[in-house]
Amino acid sequence: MIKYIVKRLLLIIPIMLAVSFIVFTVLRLGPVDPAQAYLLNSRIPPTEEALKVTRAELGLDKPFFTQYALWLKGAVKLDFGLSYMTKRDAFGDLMYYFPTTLKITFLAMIIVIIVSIPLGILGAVKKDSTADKLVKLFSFIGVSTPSFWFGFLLIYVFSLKLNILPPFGLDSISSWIMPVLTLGLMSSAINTRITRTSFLEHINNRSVWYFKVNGMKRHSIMGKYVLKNSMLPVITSLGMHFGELIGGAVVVEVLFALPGVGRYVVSSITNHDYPVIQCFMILMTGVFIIVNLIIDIIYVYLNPKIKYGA
Amino acid sequence: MKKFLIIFFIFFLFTTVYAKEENTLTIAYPVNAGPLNPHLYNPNQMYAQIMVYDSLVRYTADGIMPSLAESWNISDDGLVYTFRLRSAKFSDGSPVTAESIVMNFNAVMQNKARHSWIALVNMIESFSAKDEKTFILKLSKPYNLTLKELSIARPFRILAPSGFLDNKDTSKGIKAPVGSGPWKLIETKLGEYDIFERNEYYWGQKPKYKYVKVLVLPDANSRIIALETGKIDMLLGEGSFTIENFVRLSKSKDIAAYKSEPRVTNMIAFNTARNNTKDVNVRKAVIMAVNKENIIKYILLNQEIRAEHIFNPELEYCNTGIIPYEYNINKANALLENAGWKKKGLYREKDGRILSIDMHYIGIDPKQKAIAEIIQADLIKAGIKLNLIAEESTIFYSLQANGSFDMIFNKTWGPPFDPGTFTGSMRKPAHADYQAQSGLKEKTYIDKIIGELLISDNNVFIAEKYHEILNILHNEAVYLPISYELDLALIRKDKVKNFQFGNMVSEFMLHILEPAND
Repeated sequence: MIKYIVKRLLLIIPIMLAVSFIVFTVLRLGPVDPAQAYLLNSRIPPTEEALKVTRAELGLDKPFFTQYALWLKGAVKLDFGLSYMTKRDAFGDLMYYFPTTLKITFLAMIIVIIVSIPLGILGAVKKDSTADKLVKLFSFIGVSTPSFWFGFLLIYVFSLKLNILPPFGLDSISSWIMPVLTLGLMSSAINTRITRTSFLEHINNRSVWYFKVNGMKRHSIMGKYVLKNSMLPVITSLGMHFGELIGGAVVVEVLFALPGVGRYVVSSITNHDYPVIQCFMILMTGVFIIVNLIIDIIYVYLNPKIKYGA
Repeated sequence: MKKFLIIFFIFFLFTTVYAKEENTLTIAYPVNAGPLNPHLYNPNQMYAQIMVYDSLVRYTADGIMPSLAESWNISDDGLVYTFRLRSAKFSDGSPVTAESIVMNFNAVMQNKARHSWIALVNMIESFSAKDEKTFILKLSKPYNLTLKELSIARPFRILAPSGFLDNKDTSKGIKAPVGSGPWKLIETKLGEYDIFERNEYYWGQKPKYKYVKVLVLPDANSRIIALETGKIDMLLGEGSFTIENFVRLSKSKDIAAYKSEPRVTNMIAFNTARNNTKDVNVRKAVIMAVNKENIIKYILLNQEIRAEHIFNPELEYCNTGIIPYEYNINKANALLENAGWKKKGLYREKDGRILSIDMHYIGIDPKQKAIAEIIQADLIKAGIKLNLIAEESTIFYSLQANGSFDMIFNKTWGPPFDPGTFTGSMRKPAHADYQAQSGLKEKTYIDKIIGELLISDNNVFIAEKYHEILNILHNEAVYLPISYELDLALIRKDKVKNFQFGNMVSEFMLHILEPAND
């Protein structure tokens, strides 16, 4: 197992290199000249003289491979260059914004786990009852509700009408409630459905009948067998939700004015700010590889039959 | 005794915090103020550059007024400007001297190519400090927009010598944002807020508020909610809120809604060198077929003024008496018919070519999208097929700059750039107006007379030349003016009083505001 983990960790290097080259190339295939984008965003007509100065300043006047080599040389030392727009260290700024996004994402993930697993199990165990119908209704509404709309609804009720929660910012613990609920709703709804389906599949398994016939107690069957086995697809889905939640954090960060990485990166994409986009892509590649590795390790714990690298 | 001291300390702390709250004006803006380099552009925000730094002179609706320069005179040939400086201090307590002005002009001119969009930069021949309080600026040509261009938000604003890096090159950054304006930046928290403090050394009327806290709220709806819940005291600035929210909140008893005088002209430019818009009859027919009244009433909710000219006639030299094209769909149809565009089905054709026009707009701008859709519906009545193309904003502006459009949204720059600097920029190929006019046989002549009028000191001559240029652009139907846009502001009545709009775009005039309970 340890050999497998080391192997997976070493694989990060070639993956990162490939991602960095692809991202670097694809960004430069776009129709927009970032020097022009910078000038236009500064409301300066992009005259030839101004374009020339800006290209030289941003290092865009050098040949493509020289630009890549220079960037890579810096990147291995975590120097991803200065943002074109803010002239600040791209890595430093991303690190500044990252904790807020990670906090919201993890809190939303906890909400997803706390809400979806019990509800999914309830729906499965009480199949076709009123409780199950309510669980289905929750899933249906949750999946169909756009998060920005749900966020506005929460703000309207709890900030504008009742005035009990702050509409934006991170001044107190209560500031986290609405952003985390907004972010977690859709994933909770999806995961409730997945848990319910997976649980149902295992409840109806022939081995459960075998356990029952052998006189095993219901809660032991549910806890030791059904719950553990039905969690495999749920864990896979949670891994995927992690990416979805980081993506969804953009909407929440804009809506609730939170200083997170999503908002920063989206504005960098709009501004064609290559150093920030490149740095973000590399960081996210690393995060995803590690999250997937953790998920794979949890698989082994849940199902010892799974063997890696054999 | 110990207990007493603790109680006293807590009380002191409480009153200090409370006093700070009371003395703080809270507003919101989509991004942080930036490092506040007075000589550079993004990410330095113009409103904050104006708050912290002074220029030599100040633009107002009544003309150019003193700022750091108390008085000035211009030589008879219009080439030498002598500025007499007032006794002012920077926020670090150091005096504003002619030497410090020279340092700033040096820094700006070292980075001349970056500022090449401002005609003045290309006309400055030399500058020097005659004595401690006299600054002399020499030009190569007698440019009549000199004072106006010295007053704009950047780059001619004055940084204290202590704010310069050792190499004195501000294009590489600054040490600290030290200016002589009414405010100084004391704290920035990325993505959260900026705090400005009153500059106790300010030479003018001191601000009533001690602090201004600018919250970073990127979403327009969040800004409105912040105002409604009392988290901020006022909202202003381009795009701070939608017209719908302005109309809704202007009915609220808690909020005062203000509208400025007309600022910029929103219009649509035709490319006279491309496709079907090369034909002047097509351009005229489009102008006559668009019912602007519907746009003003249903899209702009009567919060902007119907425009008939490129520049608001109330601007200097712009009351030309030119009679605008009327809205008349029958005349538009007759014009196209006589020009050989015959109706076949829904649309007109000529030599087997459909009368089709591409119009670009910024995809995420709901106002542009709605206006474009109204125009599209109007043009069908004249047999014109308008293809609406949504663009990402940077691509939109690059289309403007390289002329890849038939019709495109365009706007003037507002005070103090209209009409002078904006007209001057029509000569730059990187500008949408240059591209729009590039198909006109008179283009070389237009550029020539723009050059002449900008270096004339004869008002009659200048007025004649403006009339001539605007007349050519009208006869050639290069623009479809839509509306004169106003600045809008929403203020909480219980928090703030004495609101007044600034004279320039992005001039917030926060230093004259007062707490409502004072």
